Amino acid sequence: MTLKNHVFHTKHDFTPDFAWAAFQLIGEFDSNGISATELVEIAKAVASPLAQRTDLNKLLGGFHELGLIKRSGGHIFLSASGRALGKNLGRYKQGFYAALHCLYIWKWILDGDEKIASPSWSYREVCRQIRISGVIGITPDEIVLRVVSLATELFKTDKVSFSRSSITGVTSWLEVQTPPLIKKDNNRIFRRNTFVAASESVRLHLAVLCSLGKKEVELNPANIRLLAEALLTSDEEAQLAAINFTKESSEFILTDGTQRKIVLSYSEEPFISWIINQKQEVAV
Amino acid sequence: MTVEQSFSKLSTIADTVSGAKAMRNPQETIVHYENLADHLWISSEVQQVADNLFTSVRQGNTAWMSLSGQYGFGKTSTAITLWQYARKKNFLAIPPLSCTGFDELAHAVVALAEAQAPKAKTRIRSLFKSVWLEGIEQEAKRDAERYELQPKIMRRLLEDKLNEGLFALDGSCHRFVEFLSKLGELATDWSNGLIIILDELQQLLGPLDARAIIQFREFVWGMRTERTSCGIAISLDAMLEARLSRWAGDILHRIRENTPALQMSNIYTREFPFWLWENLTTQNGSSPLLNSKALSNDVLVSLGQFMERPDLANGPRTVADVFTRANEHYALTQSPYEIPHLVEDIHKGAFRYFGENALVQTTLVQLLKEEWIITDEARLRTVSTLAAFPLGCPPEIWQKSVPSEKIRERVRDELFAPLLVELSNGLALEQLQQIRRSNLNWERELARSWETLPAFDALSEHTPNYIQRIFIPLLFPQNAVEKSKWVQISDDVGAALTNWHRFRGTFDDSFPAREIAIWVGEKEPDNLQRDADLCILFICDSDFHSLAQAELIEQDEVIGIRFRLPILHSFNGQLPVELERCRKYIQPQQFNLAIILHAIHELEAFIGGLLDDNDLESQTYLIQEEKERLQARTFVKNAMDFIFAEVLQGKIKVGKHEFTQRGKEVLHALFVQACRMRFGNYETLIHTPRWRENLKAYRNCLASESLNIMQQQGREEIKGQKGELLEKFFDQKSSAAGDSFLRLLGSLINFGGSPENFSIRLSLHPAETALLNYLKRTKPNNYIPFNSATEFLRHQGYLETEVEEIVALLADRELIRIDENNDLSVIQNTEIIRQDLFNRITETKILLRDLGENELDELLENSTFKFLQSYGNELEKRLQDKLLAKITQLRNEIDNNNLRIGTVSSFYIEEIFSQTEISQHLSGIAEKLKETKGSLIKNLRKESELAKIELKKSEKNLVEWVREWQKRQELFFASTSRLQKRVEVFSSRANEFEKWVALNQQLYSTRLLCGKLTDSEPEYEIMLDRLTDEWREKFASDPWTTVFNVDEFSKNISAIQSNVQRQIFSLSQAFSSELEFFRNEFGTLLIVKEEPPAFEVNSIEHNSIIQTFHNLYAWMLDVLRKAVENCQCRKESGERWSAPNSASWKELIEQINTSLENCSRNPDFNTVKNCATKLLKLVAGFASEQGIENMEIESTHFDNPDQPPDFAELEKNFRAGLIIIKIELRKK
Repeated sequence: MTLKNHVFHTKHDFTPDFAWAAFQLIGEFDSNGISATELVEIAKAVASPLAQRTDLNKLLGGFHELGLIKRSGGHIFLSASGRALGKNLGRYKQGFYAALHCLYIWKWILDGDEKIASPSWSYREVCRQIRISGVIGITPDEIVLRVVSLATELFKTDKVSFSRSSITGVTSWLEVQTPPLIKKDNNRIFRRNTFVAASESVRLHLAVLCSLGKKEVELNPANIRLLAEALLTSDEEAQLAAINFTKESSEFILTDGTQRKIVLSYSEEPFISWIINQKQEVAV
Repeated sequence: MTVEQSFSKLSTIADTVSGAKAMRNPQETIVHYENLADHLWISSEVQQVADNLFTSVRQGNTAWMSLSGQYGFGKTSTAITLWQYARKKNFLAIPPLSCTGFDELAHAVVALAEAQAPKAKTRIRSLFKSVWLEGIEQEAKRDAERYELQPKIMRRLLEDKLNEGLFALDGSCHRFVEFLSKLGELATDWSNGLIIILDELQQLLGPLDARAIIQFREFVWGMRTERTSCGIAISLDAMLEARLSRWAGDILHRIRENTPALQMSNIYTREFPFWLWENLTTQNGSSPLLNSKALSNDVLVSLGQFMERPDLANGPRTVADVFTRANEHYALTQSPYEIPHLVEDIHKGAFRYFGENALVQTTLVQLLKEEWIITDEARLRTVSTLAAFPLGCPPEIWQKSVPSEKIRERVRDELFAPLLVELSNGLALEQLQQIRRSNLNWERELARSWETLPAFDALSEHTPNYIQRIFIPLLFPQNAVEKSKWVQISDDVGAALTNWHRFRGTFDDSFPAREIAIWVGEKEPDNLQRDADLCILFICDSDFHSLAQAELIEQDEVIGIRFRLPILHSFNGQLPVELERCRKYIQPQQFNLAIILHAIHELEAFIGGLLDDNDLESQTYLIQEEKERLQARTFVKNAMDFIFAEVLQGKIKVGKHEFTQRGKEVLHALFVQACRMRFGNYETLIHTPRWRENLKAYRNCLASESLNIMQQQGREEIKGQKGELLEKFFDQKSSAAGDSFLRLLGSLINFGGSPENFSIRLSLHPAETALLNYLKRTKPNNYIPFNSATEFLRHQGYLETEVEEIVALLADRELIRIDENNDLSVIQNTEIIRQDLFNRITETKILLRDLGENELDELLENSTFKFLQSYGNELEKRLQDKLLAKITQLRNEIDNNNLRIGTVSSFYIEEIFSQTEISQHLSGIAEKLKETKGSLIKNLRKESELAKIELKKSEKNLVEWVREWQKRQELFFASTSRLQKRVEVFSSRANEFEKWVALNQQLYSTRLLCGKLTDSEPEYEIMLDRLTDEWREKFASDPWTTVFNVDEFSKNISAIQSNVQRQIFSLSQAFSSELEFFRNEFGTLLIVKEEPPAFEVNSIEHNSIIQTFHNLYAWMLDVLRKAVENCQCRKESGERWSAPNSASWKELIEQINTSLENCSRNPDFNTVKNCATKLLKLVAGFASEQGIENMEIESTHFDNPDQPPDFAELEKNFRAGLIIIKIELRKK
C-alpha cells in the first residue's frame, strides 16, 4: 500500500491492547466482514477493551496504515497480510506484538517508496534515535525535534505533523515486546542495558531482510545496522543474535564464504510466507 | 569396583539374565554369574556397606542398600560381586535379573532359590504356592463361570500360565512382599538369610507411570514393615534416580533412611585403573590374566584422569575398553601400549565407550586438521599427548613426548592461551576443560526438567497443581499492573480442604468486585458454590484426543464457566519459535500443555520471578544472570501466551453472531456473559473510583429546598436554563464538566432539551425501584432490617457499599424511613407520617423541657421529611439520655449508701477500759458513739430501701416516674446529704476515740510504774496525778473537744512514762551489779542452793522497788548465816583452823554473829558486805591450815601437754585461795 501524502504521525490511539483486541474480533468475522458499529457492540458484549472506545476510526486507521485490514461497503475485512498473520503468529498476543513491531519498522522499506514518508518511517526513526542515545537515554521532546528536523531535510516538507503523542504511538509497541525493547524513567526513554534477542522477533526481521534480497541477506554492515535498529541494540549484538538464531533455526541457513549470508530456506509460518511473497510479487 | 574380562578380551558389559530365562534354567543362570564373578573383584567400600547389610539381616531385620551411578559405571558388575560375596558369607542370594514385572521376578527368585538350596526345594515351592496361588481359586471360579468351563480345568490353565510368567494375578505387590518375607525367614534354616539384588530397576518398573510408582511404593513400604531376614540391594542409574527423586521422592528417602547410598563415581576414582591392572596382571594362585608389560604406566595415569571426567569417558567401561585394546596391541606387537597409541585410537574412534559426545575425539579431529599444528612435529606431539590428560599432563610424560626443553618452551609459548591452559598437574588442552558458567542456566534447567518427565498419567496428576500455581495467578492477576485487579479472599488451608479458591475482582467494570469460586481438578466438583457470584472450573482432561472447550454452565441456578483443558493433547501446528527451538529436548515427544507447564513450573522454582512483570534491571544481577533471567522470562511469556490461546478456547454468541475467542479474552467474554445471566437487572453505581462523591452531590441535590416531593422522587422534571440548573443543583459551573457529571450518574438521571429549555429528571435507579417494591411487600409500618435489604440486593448483584447508597437515596427521596436501629420501612403516606413525626417531636420536647432542657430548636413547617425524622430521632435520643441519667443517679446513690453503711459498720467501739482516772469518761463516750452508729446504719438502710422502691417504680413507666421523681428527688437527696454529713462526723469521732483506748492503757501502766517508785521517787506519781486531774476536768466539761485533743494528752503521758521507765532501768542496773558483787567476792561462802531474788517491776505484788533490794540483802544474810553454821560444824568435827590475824575463833564468831544481828534489822549493801568480809576471814583459817597440811609441793609447773594438771582440783584450790596460778608463754 503506497501513501500519496506524507504521514509522519504514529497513532497513539493505536495501542497494543486495543489493536490486539480489535484484531482478534475482526479475524473472527473475516468471511463476511464487520462494521465498526457491530465491532463496538460485540466488544461491549465480551468485555473487550475496545468497549472503552466510542470511536474506533483512529484505531482502525492504524491497522489500515500497516495494511492489515481493508474496507468494503462499510465492512472491515482482514487484508492478505492480516489473514496471514491471523493464521498462526497472530493467534497469541506476543506473536501479534512481535509481528506488528516488525511491520511497523519495516513497512516503509518494504514499500520502497523513499520519497513518501509513512508512519513506518517515523517509527524506525524513533527506534533509531533511542538506539543511538545509548545509556543516557533521550527525552520525547528531543526525539520529536530530531525526527522533525530529519523529515524536513529528507522529504523537503515544511509541515511535519509529529509530536510527543506520536512518540507514545511508537514506544507503546516497544514496551510490549518480550523482553521489552525500552524502558522509561523520569521522562527519558532508554534502550535496555542488557540485550536479549527474542527469537520470534529476530526470525521476523531476518525474514524481512531476506525478502529484500531474493530470500537471502548478506550480513554486511548496512543490513546488520537495519537489524540492530529493529532490535534496538548494537550492531555486534544484532549480528550475534542473527547468527545464533540461524544456527538453531531450521528455516534459515547461515552460509560461510567471503561474505556470510543468511538464506531463508523455507518457512511454514504464513506471515513469513506473506512477507516473502508480497516482496517477490512486487519485484516481479 | 569391578570390571569383567576374559582371557583374550575384557568384557565391558556384564550381561544380566532375564527373569524368564532364570526361571527356565536356574542352574545355567547361576553358572553364568559364577563365571562372571570369577573375574570380578569387590572393592573395599562396597564390601564395607555389604557387611553392614549382612549384619542387619543376620539380626533378623529387613535391610536396604543402594548403588547409584551413571551409565557405564559398573553397577551390574558391582551387583554380581555383591551376590558372590553374599554367597560366600552364607546367604541365600539372588543375582541381578532383568525382569519386566514383579511376577516374573518372583518366579525367577523361586527358581534360583531352589537351585541354590536343593534340599529346601519342596518347602520353597510350597511357600510360593501358598502365597502366590492364594488368589487363583477365586480367579479360576470367576473365569470358569464366564467361559462355562470346569473350575478345575480353569485353575490348571491359570496355574500353568502363572508358572510360565504369562499371567499376573493383580498389579499390586503385596504377594511379592509376603513371599520375600517368608522366604527370608525360611532361608535362615540353612543360611544367614536372603539377599535380593535388584538391578535394571527401570526395566522392572517400566514407564514411570502412576501404576509403577504405586507398585514400587507398595513394595518398599511393604518390605519396611516386614521384620524378616531379608536384605535388598537396589542399583539405580542416574536418570531413574533423578526421576524417582522428582516424582516419588518418598520412596528414595525410605530406601536410604538407614543405609548410605553408594555412589559409583565416589568409588571409581583415578586409582581404579591401577588397582584393576594390578588385579588382572598379578592373580594369586594362578597365572595372571593379562601381561603386565602390555600397558605403560602413563596410560594408567591417563585413564585415571578420564575416570574423574565422566563427561569425557564412561568410567570403568572405558578402562576395560582400553585394557582390551592394549591386550590386543601387545599380542600383535609384543610391545607395551603407550600414550601415542591411546591417542591414535581415540582419534580413530577405536573405542566403543569414550564419552557420550566423544569430545576428546572431536577435539583431536578438530585440532589435528589444523595445518599450523600438524606441520610442526613438536606441536603435533604436544597436542596429541595433552589430549590424553584432560586434568593436566605430568611434565615427565610431556618430556618423553618432546625431549628438548627448548622446544617444549617454544611450543608452550606458541600454544598457550588459545589452546593450552595450565592446571595443577601440568598443561592441558583448553577445549577439554569444563567451562565455568553462571550457576543460572535456564535452558539446562529446562532440559533437565524434561529429561526427568514421568509417564503421562503421573504427569497429569500433577497438572492441576501447575494450573493452580501458574494459570490462576496469570488469569486473575493480583498486581496493580493489570487493569483487572483481583484479590484472593480464601486462605490456602481452606482452599486445600475444599479445592475451591475464592477471588474477588472483575474483568468488566459493569460488574465490579464479583466474588468468584475457582475449581481446578481432573474431575468436576459435585456441586457448584452457591454463595459465590460465579464459579469457574478448570477441568484437566487427560484424554489425548480431547479438545479445548469453554462454556457457560448452570447447575441449580448457579452460573459457572467450565474450561476443559486438554492437558495431554499435542500441539501439532506451528509453535512459537521460543518453544520450537526447545523441541530438541523432548523429541520424539510432542509438546502439550502438561509438558510445557511442568517446565515452567520447574523454571519458576529454579529461577523465580518469571511470572511477574517486575523490571529485572531494577534488581541487582550480574549481566549474564540477568540475560539468563530475561531469556527464561521471554520463554515463559511466549509459552504461556501461546498455551492460553491454545487451551482456552470457546464459542461466544452475541446476538446473531457466533465466533471463537481464545486465551484470556474467552475468559473475559464468558465472565461478562455469566454475570449478565446471573445478574440480569444489575446496573452498577460504581462508574468511577469517585462514585460515592458523585452520589453525594446527587443526594445534595435531592435535599435541595427548591425541589418538591414529586421532583425528589423523580416523578416530575426540573426545568430551567441548563447552566443555572447545573450550577444550582450540582455545583457545576462548566457546562462541559456538567455534561460529564450527568453522564456519570447513569440511570439516576434523565436529561435533555436545549440549553435554554433544559430539563432534568432525578430518576430512580433500578436498584431503588427493586428495593422499594421489596419493602412494599411487607406490612405497612413494618420495619425490616438493613441486612435483609443488603441480602435482597446482593442477589441482584449489588455490593454492600452500593446498597448503603441505594438506601440513602430512597431515604433522601422520602420514599423510605430509617429508624434508630437502621431498620427500613416504606413510607405509604408521606403527610400522615409527617404529622406523626411533628407530634412525636412536640411531645419529646415537652418532656425534655420538664427535665431542664431549654435549648430546643423551633420546627419549621416546611422541614423535609428526612429532617423531621432525623430531628425526632435526635430529640428522642436526648430524652433517653436524660432519663437514663436519672436512673443512673439513683443507682449511684444506692451504691454510695451501701458504701456509707460499710464505713460506719467497720468502726468497733471499745466498751471495757482499764481502771484509770479517765476510764469512766471514756466509757460514757463509747456508749454515745455506739448509739450513733446504730442509728446511722438504720437511717442509711432506710434511704437505700427508698431508692430501690423508686427504681422499681421507674421500671413500670420511666417517663411517668421521671415526672414524679422530679418532685420528690429534692427531699430525697437532702436527706442523703444529711446522712452523709453525720457519717463523716461519726467517722472522725470514732477514729479519734480509738486512739484514747490505747492511751488509757498507757495511763494505767504508767500509774503502776509510778507506784513502784513511790518510796524512792514520789515526784513521778505527783506529776501523774496533776495530769489526770487536768484531763478529768476537761472530759467533764467538753468531752468531744477533749476527744479530739488526744495528741496533747498522748504527749504528756508519754513524757511521764519515759521518765519513770528510765528511773526503773537505772535501779535494775544497780540491783544487778550488787548481786554480781556478792557472787564474785563471796563466792566461797555461797554454799546455799537457793537462787537469789530477781529484779521484778511488772508484778503487781511488788509494789515497791526498794523491797526488791531488801529481798536481795535478806537472801545474802541467809547465805552468811548458813556459812557460819558450816564453819562451826567443821570446827566441831575437829577440822584444824588457824587464826589468820591473831584473833581467836570465839572472838571472830561473836563479831560475825553481832554483825549479822545488826544487819538483819536494817540491812543495806555496806553492812551485808562487812558481815561477809568478816566471815571470809574465818573461813580462810581453815584453808591456811589445810593448805599447810596438804601441800607437799611448794611450787611446780606443768609443761607437758600430755600430762595436764587436774584442772578441777586446781580450780577448787584456787577458789579456796590455797594456790596462786602463774601463766607464762612457752618458749619456742
